[in-house]
Amino acid sequence: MNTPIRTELMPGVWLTAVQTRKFKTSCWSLQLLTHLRRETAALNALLPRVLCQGTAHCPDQELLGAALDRLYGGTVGPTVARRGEIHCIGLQGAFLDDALTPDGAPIFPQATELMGDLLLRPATRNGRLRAEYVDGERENLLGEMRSVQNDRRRYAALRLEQEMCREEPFGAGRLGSPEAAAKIRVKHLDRHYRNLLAESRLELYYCGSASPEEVRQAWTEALMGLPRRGRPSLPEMLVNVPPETVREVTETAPVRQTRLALGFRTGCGIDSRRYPALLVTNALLGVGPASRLFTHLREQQSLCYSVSSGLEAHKGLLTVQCGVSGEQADAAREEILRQVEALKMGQFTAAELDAARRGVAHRLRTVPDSQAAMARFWLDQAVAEAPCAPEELAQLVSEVTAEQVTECAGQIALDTVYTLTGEAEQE
Amino acid sequence: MELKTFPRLGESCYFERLENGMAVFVVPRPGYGKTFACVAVNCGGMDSRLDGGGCAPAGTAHFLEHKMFDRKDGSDHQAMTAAGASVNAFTSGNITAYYFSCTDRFPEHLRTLLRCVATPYFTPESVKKETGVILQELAMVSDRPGWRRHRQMLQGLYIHHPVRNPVIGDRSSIQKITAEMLDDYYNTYYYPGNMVLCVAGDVDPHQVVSTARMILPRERREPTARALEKEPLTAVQQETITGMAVSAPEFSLGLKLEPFPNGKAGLRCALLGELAAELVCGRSSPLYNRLYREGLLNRRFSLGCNSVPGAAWLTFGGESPDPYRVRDAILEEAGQLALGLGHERFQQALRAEYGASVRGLDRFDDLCFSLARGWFSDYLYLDFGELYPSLTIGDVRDFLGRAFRPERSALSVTAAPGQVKQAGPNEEKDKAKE
Repeated sequence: MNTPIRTELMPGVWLTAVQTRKFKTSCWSLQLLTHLRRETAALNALLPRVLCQGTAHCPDQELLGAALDRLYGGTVGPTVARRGEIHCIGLQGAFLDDALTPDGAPIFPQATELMGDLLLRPATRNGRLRAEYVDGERENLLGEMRSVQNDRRRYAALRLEQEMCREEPFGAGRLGSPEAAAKIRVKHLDRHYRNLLAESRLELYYCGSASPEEVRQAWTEALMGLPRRGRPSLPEMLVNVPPETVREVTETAPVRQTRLALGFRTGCGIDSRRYPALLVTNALLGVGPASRLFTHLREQQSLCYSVSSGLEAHKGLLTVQCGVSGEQADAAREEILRQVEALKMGQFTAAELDAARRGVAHRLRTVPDSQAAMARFWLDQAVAEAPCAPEELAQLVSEVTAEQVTECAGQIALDTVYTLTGEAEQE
Repeated sequence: MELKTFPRLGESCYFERLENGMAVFVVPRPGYGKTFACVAVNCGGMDSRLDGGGCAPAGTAHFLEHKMFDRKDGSDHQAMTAAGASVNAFTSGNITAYYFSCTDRFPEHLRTLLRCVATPYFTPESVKKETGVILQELAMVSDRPGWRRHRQMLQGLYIHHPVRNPVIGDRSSIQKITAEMLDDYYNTYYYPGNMVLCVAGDVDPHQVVSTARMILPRERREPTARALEKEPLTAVQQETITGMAVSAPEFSLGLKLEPFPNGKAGLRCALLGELAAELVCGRSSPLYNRLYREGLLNRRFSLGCNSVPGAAWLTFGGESPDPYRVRDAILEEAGQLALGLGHERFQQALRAEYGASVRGLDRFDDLCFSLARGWFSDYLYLDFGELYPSLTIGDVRDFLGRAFRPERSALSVTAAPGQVKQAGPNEEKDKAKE
């Protein structure tokens, strides 16, 4: 596989192209990078869904679906993600690579054109986005927001983040608020769409057998007519320090299992020189079966089935979540905090450190083997100050020392504890 | 060692049958840093028979999977993870699989994995401890509407077939499981002739085979065929509803199919089932798009064709304010397509299915699991490339006419009280009048 080639196609429009023949799938991604704000988060989240309803050429789902079927079952879908205070909204496409079409007909040119059409030439009526698509997708977005309660793990993670970041734009959530979404009408979204097109940074990505030169040309053609107002800037990341006191929030729901979610601040973002140490610290604490949390809470004390920690790398948030029976929630919480303290005191073995380093390095080294992981990784790097390849980061990770982990853990401070507990213990 | 090539798919596959009966598949993937390996055992939630008579409690296969990585001085799961591999396991209705992926030390990890499935180590203490963990897992899945409705659907479809029982077991069956039962279960199902090893990555296939030969027992034992009661083609209960605090009603609609035969014909049935389901209500179908526009379906909708020995079914599942109308619409659409499916749509759907299946080969785990399932059902999964062109419009029409019948369907709904109006007998009558 070749090294990704990164070029600026026009002001604020960046292309990352990876040429490789190792996949049977070719992957396209197109991301508008904008500010995450409470006022506009729901508009941002709604836009790619509406764009995926149809293009000027294929103005409804059935025609669009037929076009995709003819391209050997290609798929396109909306994406909404955050990188700290940056809202990344866009479209992702996956198509059979040209090398494998049975009739030898190339898919690449049509697929790129379709991605461009979806962004720039949507189905319209009287020059505006179609009201029925805006209304329909708004209701679907509201439904999706409500549906988070069906997955208790996601729900607890969302509530933790809302409480923890209530004074930061990040707390607006990935999808924004239902109140804001409910008010959206076609005129708002249409105006917002045009502003976003002109003012957002655009990150394009392609991975497949086409050469970077072909990709550059095809994207340039597909994006003909993209309005540009100067060179867009990205928002500052807020990598905050925790408050003086720990915030406690407990809620009840008709659940059998209590979900315990703890939010910590690490003061260390993806751009920090301490970032490789943070990756290792997090792995040591709660990633996989060799981690401290898994070993102590599950294997030694049988307190839970699932317990793990995770990072929001851009904002330096570390969260721990576990599912536990109601009467053991306090014991689980104490044990989690004890494990964090142990890391701060340097109470871990060389073997545990080695396992954590290997685990992180393994995950980084498998990034080039997955289209989806690569698209995510390169988007991460695109918004970071000093982008580096998975292998470079893996190398830095494997050099992390015990002192660096202790130093990194020393900065970790508990911010918020969120508990979702059963209304009554149910059988 | 045999090498099979699939030029249309850009794929090749090494195969060896060891003297002890174990099958080994290696799919070479030059240029990948990651190697994936899985050992699959031909037993799962549906299997309770024990050698020497007797019956294991529901959930034993899954419990055993949890304990299989244990060894006297620790856990292979943790040891492999500590050495940099990503390790996991799953138990389905008819398969238990142990797998890892790694970017270095592959031979060492492979040896550990093979030794692990060949060396059980259970103690009463460790089993007792695990009971608590599995009960928490049960509590976790019980809070998931998707799990609940799927389980209800299978119970609505099947009267005898053990696929109707949840793989994890239930609270009381899990608590009955002891170290001796795990031993008995292990001895009944875990022998090389009942296993397959599948590997994908940039590895030397000969080395894989010689490692397997070295570590696993030499003794050959032929698998015992499953004894299954004859299952009628009609569903037990066409509608069930489970009360649950969900944001919107969710449903799983199952359609009972004739069990798939072994061999290539079985794989062909699976491809045909998937294709037919896509034509009826896939993303590009007129029906899905109509229901989507009407707000009766959203993006959280999926469909698929599943099978285990002795049972096969289609599933349509998602979220809907009126699952009963969705079910009726699906059955009606299938009826119309059985008579009037056009060539253009058929060709288009076939093309899409083919492309999606080829793209699926990029996922090492799915590829290896598909190879394992195929081995236990006597087909080579990669033959799908040559089977697609053999599917005809007549096959699809026949299939639609046979499978999409109300008496073969089971609809299970999870909803909060008052969220859905169940179609009562009176409503049925009203509809008939129209």
